[in-house]
Amino acid sequence: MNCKVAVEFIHQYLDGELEGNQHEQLKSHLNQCDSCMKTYEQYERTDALAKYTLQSSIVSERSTADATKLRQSILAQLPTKHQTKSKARFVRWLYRYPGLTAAAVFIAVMIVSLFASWDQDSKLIISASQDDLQHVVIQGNTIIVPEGIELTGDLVVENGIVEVKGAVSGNVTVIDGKMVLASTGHIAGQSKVIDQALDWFWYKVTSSFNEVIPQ
Amino acid sequence: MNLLESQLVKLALKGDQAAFAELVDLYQEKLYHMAYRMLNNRQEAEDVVQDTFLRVYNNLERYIDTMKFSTWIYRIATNLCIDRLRKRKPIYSLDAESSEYEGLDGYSMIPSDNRTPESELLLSETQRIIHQAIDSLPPKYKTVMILRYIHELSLQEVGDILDMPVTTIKTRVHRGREFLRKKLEYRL
Repeated sequence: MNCKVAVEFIHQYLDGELEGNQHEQLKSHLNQCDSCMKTYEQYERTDALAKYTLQSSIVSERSTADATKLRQSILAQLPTKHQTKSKARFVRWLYRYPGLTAAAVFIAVMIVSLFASWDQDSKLIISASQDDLQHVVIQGNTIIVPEGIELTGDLVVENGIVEVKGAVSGNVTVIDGKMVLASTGHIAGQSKVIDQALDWFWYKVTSSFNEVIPQ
Repeated sequence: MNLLESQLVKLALKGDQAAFAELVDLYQEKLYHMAYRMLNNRQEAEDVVQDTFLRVYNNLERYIDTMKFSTWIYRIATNLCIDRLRKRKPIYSLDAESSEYEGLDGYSMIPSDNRTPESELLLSETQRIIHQAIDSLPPKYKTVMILRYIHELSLQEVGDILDMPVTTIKTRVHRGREFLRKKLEYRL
């Protein structure tokens, strides 16, 4: 063991951090090396003196009268709590589980926005790609895919009737409406009619998944 | 976690002032000792103790059981001490005449402290030198050494209080000890 390691060991020993056979190693080095032995003794005395001085002189300095006075002024200074108990507990709960709080807020916002969009109104809404929209014919609340026309993408219609006379290579979805498939019509993808809230909800969930995860 | 203390915290949270008073009794001396050693000034030490309890009271609902109460209260107190030491930075010489008030020097501006000054206490020369040596430690070592020596806290506890890794505390204890040894060398 060299002296540099020994000094490190001395510190660790004084901190109560030295382990098992390290004691022996340090001991054998100190028995051989006078300068490290001297350092060890000095450190030990420094610790002992500093502890003794700091702990002892303090106690004699302060009278109990001082302590009582300070105690009184601390207690006099305390603000009165005007929070209601349940509110304090709720706030404390929020502080304790920040993750859970965030998740609850997130879910609440999601649910509110979903139902807000379900309840909107009975406007006719069509969504399809721009090219496809040019070929579609709209009469009142009826959307017609004319004969001889082929739509390349998906077609989604809310609050309307869809008459498919031509071909659609994507999916056709009708929400709160009807779908009429003419004998000439052909839908390559899936066709769905959604009327009820639960179906609609399920559609929203699956479609958002389909957007996130490309097929 | 100390059962008595956590019980007192719970009662204090419900608005029981007597319970809080007991926490004050348990900790005021310890905090005062530490603050006095850090700041070397009675009035400032008392102010720190007072501020600490006020903060503890106002933040009781934020106290989390996973931390020892002592760790929490020492952390608040040491932070207040360190803040004060930092603000003190510009050192004015007490002997310099004040520019604002003619004929007054720094001594006349200090509120008089008629209690026994430390210099008149029965302190051995060695003890006086130790006080001076500790006082001259740079703040980051001073905090660590004072917590170690006064309250004999473990390295882990000191680390928790100062919110620093134990390895950092170890290094600071080692350097602080070396610093003190050098100052005391001819008396050891």
